[in-house]
Amino acid sequence: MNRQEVFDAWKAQKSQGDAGPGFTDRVMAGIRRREATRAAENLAPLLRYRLPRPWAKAAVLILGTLLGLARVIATLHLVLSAS
Amino acid sequence: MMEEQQVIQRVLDGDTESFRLLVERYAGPVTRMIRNVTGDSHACEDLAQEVFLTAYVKLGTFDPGRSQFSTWLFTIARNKAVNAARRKKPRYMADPPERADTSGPEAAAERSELFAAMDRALLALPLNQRTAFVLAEFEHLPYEKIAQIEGVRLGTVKSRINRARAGLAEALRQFEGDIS
Repeated sequence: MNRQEVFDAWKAQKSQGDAGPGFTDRVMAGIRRREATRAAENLAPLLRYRLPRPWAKAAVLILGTLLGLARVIATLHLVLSAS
Repeated sequence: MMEEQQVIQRVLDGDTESFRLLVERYAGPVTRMIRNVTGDSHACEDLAQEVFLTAYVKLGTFDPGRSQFSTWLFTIARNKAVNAARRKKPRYMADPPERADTSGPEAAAERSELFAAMDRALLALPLNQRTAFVLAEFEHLPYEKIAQIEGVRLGTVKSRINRARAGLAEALRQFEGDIS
């Protein structure tokens, strides 16, 4: 093998090779994680802005719980009245 | 595959999953380029992932009127590879893909030694020569595109590649002198 052949063979070898299996999936998973984090980051200041006081947060929590309970009761009522 | 610019527009419009098409197209060249510049076959995939994540985040700043997407992506990859190469000495030589060798074991061993010597010589080159050489000789990019990626004039790219070639030829001469 002369010098030019060695050089060409080496270059050909270095031009080969691909990313490992699952590389694209890992990149896309990273992007989805980032998107989820960004969505949470966008929501956090909104919550802080809307609910500056602890009692307001507690009130929202209680209201949410009551609404949930009301929905359960309404569903039960529907099911029982139908049967 | 649909036109690259269409894919980019879809991603910018909120279709994150379309970005997969761009990753699939450029995963090989970007990973290979980073591996050849850093000499680190283990960390190159992590760096390549960072490149694609950065590209996704900054996709809105990509201007198709100024460059092709591949040029823009290689610029990100080049900068990350250079930063990584500056931070640390390469711990691993790049793992070359297996190739069928029709010659005998002695010739194969000699070639393997020669290639290892060439790898060492490549990593000994100054970074700006190394990146230009890798982009030109391994990724077969035109010099104009390399000039955009490196942010230098065309003449500077040519000069860097010529100096890299001369350095590698000298390394090969020295290696042949050592074994004879």
